[in-house]
Amino acid sequence: MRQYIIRRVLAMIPILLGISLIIFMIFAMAPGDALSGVAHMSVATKTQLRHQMHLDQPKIVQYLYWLKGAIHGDLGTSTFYKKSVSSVINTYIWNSFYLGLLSTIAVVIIAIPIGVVAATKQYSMFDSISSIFALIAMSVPDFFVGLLLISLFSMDLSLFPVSGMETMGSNATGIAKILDIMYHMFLPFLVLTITSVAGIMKYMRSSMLEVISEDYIRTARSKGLREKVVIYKHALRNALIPIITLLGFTIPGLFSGAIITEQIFSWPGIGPVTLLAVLNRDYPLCMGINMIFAVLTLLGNLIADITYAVVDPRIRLK
Amino acid sequence: MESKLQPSNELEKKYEKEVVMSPGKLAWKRFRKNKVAMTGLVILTIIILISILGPILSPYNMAAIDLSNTTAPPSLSHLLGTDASGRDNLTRVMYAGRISLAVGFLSVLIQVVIGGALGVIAGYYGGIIDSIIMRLVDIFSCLPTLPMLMMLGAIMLDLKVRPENKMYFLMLIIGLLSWPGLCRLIRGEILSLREKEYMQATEALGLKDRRKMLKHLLPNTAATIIVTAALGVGSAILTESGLSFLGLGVTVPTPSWGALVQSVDDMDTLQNYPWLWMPAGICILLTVVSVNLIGDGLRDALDPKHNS
Repeated sequence: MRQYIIRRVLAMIPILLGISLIIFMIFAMAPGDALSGVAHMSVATKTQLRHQMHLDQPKIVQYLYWLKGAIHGDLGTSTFYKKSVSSVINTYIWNSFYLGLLSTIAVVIIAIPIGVVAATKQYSMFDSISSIFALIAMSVPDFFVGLLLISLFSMDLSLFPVSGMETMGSNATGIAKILDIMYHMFLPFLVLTITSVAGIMKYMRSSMLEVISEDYIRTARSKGLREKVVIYKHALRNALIPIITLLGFTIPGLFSGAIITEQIFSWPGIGPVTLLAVLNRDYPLCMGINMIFAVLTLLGNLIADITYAVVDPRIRLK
Repeated sequence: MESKLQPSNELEKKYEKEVVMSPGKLAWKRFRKNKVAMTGLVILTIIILISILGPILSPYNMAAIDLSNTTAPPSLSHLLGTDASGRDNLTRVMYAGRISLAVGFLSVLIQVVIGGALGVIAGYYGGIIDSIIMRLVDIFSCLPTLPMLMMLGAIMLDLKVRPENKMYFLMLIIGLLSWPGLCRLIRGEILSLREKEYMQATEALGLKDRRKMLKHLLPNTAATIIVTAALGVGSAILTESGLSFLGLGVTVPTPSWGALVQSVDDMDTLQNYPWLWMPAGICILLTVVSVNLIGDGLRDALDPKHNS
């Protein structure tokens, strides 16, 4: 197992190199650089700064400079925030994480029971209604849900705040602060939960259906076990295996899954930061954010594979 | 089973043209029995027809500004009201449909061409070619889609792409970022198809590699390609609308559904002028729902084992 993990981590390196090269090449397509948009700066200062930032070198040399920094853990300096890229990301990404984590927990709590019941009562009323809900939730754009919820909960009912993470000027601490954050989090949380619950629900249902048709379920029934034991002890445990793997794949989504939702609700997460970085052509920050997301995706895949092997002893990692 | 098949309407003929085989006919027969999927097909057809014909039949010009009649509520003369510049909203929604649908379908076409070709090549040749392509797949599937698209959209703004050409650029970038999934599936299928007896027969006949791949391997992956493509259209439309909503996709004066929803930039519009943003959002929802219904229906129709 340890050998397998080490090999997988080593195999990530060429992939990360490839990803960083592709992202860098995309920047190379863009006209101008970080300084060409800056007014109020003399040409001489700009030339000097460009030299300092290696912007006057060929793109591939710039890439190598970036790579050298990245290996040492230095992702460069954000031209928009005037801070190091890693500190900008570190400041905001956790707000995204809290939102993503709470929503993922809610998704699991809602999706798994509904999926199980829908599968055990296939073609029932409950099954049809949950399928219709899943279909709509999968097909609706997140920004549309967001706007609908704002117009319903914030405008018509004035129940929840439209934007931000804390009440302006509030200096509440402790539990009061957490409650205030939760209160602001509710609408973006609802949007995220609605738009991501359907996938796991459908997956759980089909996984459960597949397991129920297995021979060992028939054996369990013919032994005379009660239906509850058959479903919840024998079937559910096996049906959960692919879901656990699926949760590994949601790890990058915990951080990056809510860019549009965060933007709508001005949630101070990585989403609005990404948009600002893109709009201000803050290439070091864009590069850093994309690389973090790529690393998270790779780690998510690795964790998915490992948990798969842990929960299902039939899988042997080579 | 096949003898019962009756020659029927033009849709079937259309389908036959694409898949000139009796398995295709059988699949269509199964698909037609699936009421839910057929509902999806009907809704999608209606949306496509309205988007194509609507702007032609509409008495209003998509870009005609009427400052004496701005943000008018829906009425008989303007069924969906008018926008902030007095343009007829219904005409704009229909015109936006053309763009959103075109981006959805054509970006999937790009995805299928790249993913299909690389998948077949990787699976057929194996060895070093396979490794290179699969590493490429690994790299592309780890690229964070939305941030990448946002960056490319911003670069599109920098490159001063003409508004009417933006949709082509969007198709290209969405297609270029979404092929790895299909490529992996096709490669997997080719790996097992390659070992079939009929491939030994093609070997014995001395057929060229290209003929083997195009005539004997690729058609056998049709089911996977069709289902993936159908479901891909939905997610491509969602991606485009999200990007346009952020202002990084199709932008004014050319409307797309996402860009129309973006016209809600203040709380006043959101609350008091729902006809400005609701219709486009509902159109996205309806289109993606029907595309997903068709995709699920196609999966059941094309894979008899799946249809328990």
